Amino acid sequence: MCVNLNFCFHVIFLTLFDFSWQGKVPFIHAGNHVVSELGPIVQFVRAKGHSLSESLNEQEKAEMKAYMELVNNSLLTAELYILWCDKNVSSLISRPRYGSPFPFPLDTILARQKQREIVRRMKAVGWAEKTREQVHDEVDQSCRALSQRLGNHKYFFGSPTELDALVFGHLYSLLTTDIPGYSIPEIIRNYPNLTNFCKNIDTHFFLQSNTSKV
Amino acid sequence: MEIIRFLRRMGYKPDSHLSAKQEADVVAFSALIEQMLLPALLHTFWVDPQNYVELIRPWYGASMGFPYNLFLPYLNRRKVISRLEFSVGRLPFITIKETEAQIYRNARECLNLLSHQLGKQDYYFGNLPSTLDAVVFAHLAPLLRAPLLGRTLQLHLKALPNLCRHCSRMLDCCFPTLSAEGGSRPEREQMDANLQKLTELVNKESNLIEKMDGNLRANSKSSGQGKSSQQVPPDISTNGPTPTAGH
Repeated sequence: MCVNLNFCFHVIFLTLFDFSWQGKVPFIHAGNHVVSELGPIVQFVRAKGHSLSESLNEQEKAEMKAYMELVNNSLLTAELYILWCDKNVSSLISRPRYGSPFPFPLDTILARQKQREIVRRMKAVGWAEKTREQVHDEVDQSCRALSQRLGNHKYFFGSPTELDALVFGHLYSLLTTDIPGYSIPEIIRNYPNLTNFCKNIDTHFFLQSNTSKV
Repeated sequence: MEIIRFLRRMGYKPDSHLSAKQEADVVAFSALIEQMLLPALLHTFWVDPQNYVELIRPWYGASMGFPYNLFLPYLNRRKVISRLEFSVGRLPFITIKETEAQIYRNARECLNLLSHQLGKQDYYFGNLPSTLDAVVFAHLAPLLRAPLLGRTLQLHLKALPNLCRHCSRMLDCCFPTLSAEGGSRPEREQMDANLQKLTELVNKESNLIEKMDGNLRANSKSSGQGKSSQQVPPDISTNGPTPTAGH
């Protein structure tokens, strides 16, 4: 189970970059199978006989689903907005990073195409007109809800579940990425139980795996 | 949600009776509804051709003036379609039919989750309604009450009695006049139908009377008795003796 969760965390950590040809991250490449997005990955792993949320009752599973949708709805959308809809950030960070594996002129073309697609998506869900302060408010509201749900516990539901993996993936990326003009790490640091949660999981799952390689 | 934030800043707190965990649950379940249920609602109302053409476009068109009713519903529909494209997957990796199937699968799962969460209680958190009750009601009431033609999701909702009762309870509690009107609407429709039938019958009768009147006048003119023709109409209604030609 430790290996399973570790595996999930490593996969979800790659949320900021899109290099799946099905268009969605995270993705795993297991043998001949390529599975993208968290939901299908969880089902794939469950079909192989491993699951993190077997011990939860129906109500807890419903709550877990609701919190996962909250994270996808606000944190993920905020990340996409900050990276691709902000002109400064997209020209300094996102487009160069996205196009870095490709030679010129493919890097510019693909990066611009990706940006157009994400801006269209933001317009469709109503985030294109949001200001920086509104985006900060959304992130703050989601972090407050997650912090209130976590309380003083180590994990959201007693033992590590997919929700812990998803929240860790997003919060760790937001805490460790310095984006000019946005103060997202400060917002998350206002909730010390969330930062402790990230530190615990980082030391427990990732430090162990690093030491085992050594 | 902007309205809720604005009201909170003004000092109105609908969730003062909730614990911190319950307040977090409100936010989470609202996000769940927005992600999983709202796309299917938008599809049912704006993209399903039967519902859009027969119901939504006339409704919205009637409340907008000319010339807005010619293009604003169409623009809204296009906006909804573009939103639905990004809610599930992306062409060409996923076809339109698969997108629609996935949207409705998510909506059914969301309705089941909401029903399970409500259980046998009156409201989601105790005996007082909260923001979550309002959000659930706002999404489910149009689906439950609208006279839709394409009704798969509506039928699924009607099969969850606790959610239907929750909607009725919220309607009685917060919109008592609307709930009273809604109850007498079928009777009013029946009365309208009866009235229409009666009007048609009366029209047919009056047409028949005019024809007979015309025939008799023509007969009396041909016989050359102008004065007696004026007396004809009262005789027809009373079945009195009719004037015969040739006298």
